[in-house]
Amino acid sequence: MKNNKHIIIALTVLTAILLLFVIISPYLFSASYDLDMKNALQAPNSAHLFGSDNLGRDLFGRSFIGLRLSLALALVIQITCLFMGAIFGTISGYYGGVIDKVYIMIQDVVMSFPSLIASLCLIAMLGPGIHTLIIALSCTGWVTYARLIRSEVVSLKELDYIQGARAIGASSGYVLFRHILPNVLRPLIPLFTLMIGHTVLAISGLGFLGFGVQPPTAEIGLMIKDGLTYITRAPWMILAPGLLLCLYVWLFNALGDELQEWLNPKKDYLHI
Amino acid sequence: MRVQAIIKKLCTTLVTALLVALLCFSVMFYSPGNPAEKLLRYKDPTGGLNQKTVEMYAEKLGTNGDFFEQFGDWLAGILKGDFGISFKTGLPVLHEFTARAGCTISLMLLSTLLALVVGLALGILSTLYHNKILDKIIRFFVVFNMSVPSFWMALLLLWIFSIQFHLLPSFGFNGFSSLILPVTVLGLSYSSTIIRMTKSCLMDNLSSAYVVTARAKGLSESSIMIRHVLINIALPIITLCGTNMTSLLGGSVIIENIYGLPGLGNYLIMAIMVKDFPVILGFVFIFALFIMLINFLVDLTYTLIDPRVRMAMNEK
Repeated sequence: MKNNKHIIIALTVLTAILLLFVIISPYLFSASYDLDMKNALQAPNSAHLFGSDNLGRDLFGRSFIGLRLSLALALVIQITCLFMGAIFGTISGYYGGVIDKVYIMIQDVVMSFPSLIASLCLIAMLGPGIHTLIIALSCTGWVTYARLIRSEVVSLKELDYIQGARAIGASSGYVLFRHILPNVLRPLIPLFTLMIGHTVLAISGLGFLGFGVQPPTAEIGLMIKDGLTYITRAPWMILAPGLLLCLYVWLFNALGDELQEWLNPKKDYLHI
Repeated sequence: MRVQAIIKKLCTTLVTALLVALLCFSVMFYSPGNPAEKLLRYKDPTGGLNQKTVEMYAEKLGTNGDFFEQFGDWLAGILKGDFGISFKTGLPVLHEFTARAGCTISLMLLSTLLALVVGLALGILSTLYHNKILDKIIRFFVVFNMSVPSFWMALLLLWIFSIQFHLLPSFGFNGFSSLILPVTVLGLSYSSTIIRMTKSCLMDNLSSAYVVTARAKGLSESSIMIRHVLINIALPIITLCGTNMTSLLGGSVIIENIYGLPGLGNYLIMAIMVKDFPVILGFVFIFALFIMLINFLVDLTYTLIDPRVRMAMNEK
């Protein structure tokens, strides 16, 4: 699949450029924090590419600043999930027996809740804010990784080279870190990329319902929520930030999809 | 043997249900604040709190015991069909639930149906035109569709069809026309996984030995597809619809909220906003039970339909 590699390189470069743009956005658009009531609810024009909101703030700059926060949060949440998933998945997959049974029970319990509803309840209990957002989405998201890692570990540990390593007296820790975990990375890379996009969507969804990042911080879901009141007069308040969000999430999903095709053509983890 | 396997599965499901109940209850129990105090503040937000009244209320609500005492009471109530009383409306939680379930259930069933129709159609098309331009377009659609936030899609459609062209109602529930937009949004967003699953299963099956045999016998491609292959991919698709139900229940919360549908999700959001604990606890627990039931049924379908699973169980 030479073709596929070209697409991956192109997508990676595009993602890197657009990410760089997001990272430096607070310095580029520092003016978009300012209120400017004279120019409130302006349609998109050359000064405000996405138009301006009800307080006259530039939507283009605010969208990028909001996206920056969402992406950073998504990264933190997914790394936490990955750690939790790796711990639960490897231990239960490798040792099996009672430990595995207990783990399956925990997994069944977590998976009995729709993740959005579980996050909403946790946030309601702990009080909305950035910290609770991270806790809630990590508590609901780690199972995806744990399931994948566990199933990989279970199938890997029966292979001859692992049995061989054990037969010559390698310790469990050595076998796990030296032989098993590097092989689990292959399916994990595309999954991680896809889950970043997924989490950005979840963060914006919670923000839209008012349970995520709190105002006056710029966040896409929150901006769309604010735009709801002005949907007839200023539809760009809803449409423009959402479009930008779609673009970025699409980048991550497309990259994950191509990586998946390249690294594990036989298996499809996208529907997790 | 089969009956034994089913009973075993049922037992694990019951234990999981008990653990789920314990988890739900402990999250509520350890959330900050005293329920009696909350209820008093709820009834009279401006009035001060009298310690005696709080104690009296705690006794009345049964929230003065220790954790296991209260948990036992709550669980016993559920077995009798009593999920407690809503702080906000004063009506039984179960009554609030049944009054709104119809709307959500019809939304979910119609969305699943739409997702299945779109998913199977596009999945089959992209298999038939594998690596051709149509396949690439469908693949782009799948990835893009997964990247669109459903609430934004809902608002976009609302803006186009309700505000610009005044074709469909934008808010509330009066008849089938109110369900068109919500079902379109939910159905489309869950069709991606079905398209993907259909395609990967079809590709696997079309290269397998039984299809080669069928071709060698001289069967036409269409009858191979309909009579042999589609039956074989039914099971994974059923499983996927089952797991989709979980996310659909979560997705319906946002969509019902936007379109103002009088469903379970919308009511749950309101309950969460005003911290109506008995309602949150009851609804979330019923949702979890529903999902466990779906998973159990999916497993059951497997054992009943798939001869391979049936054989494996008989051998055990």
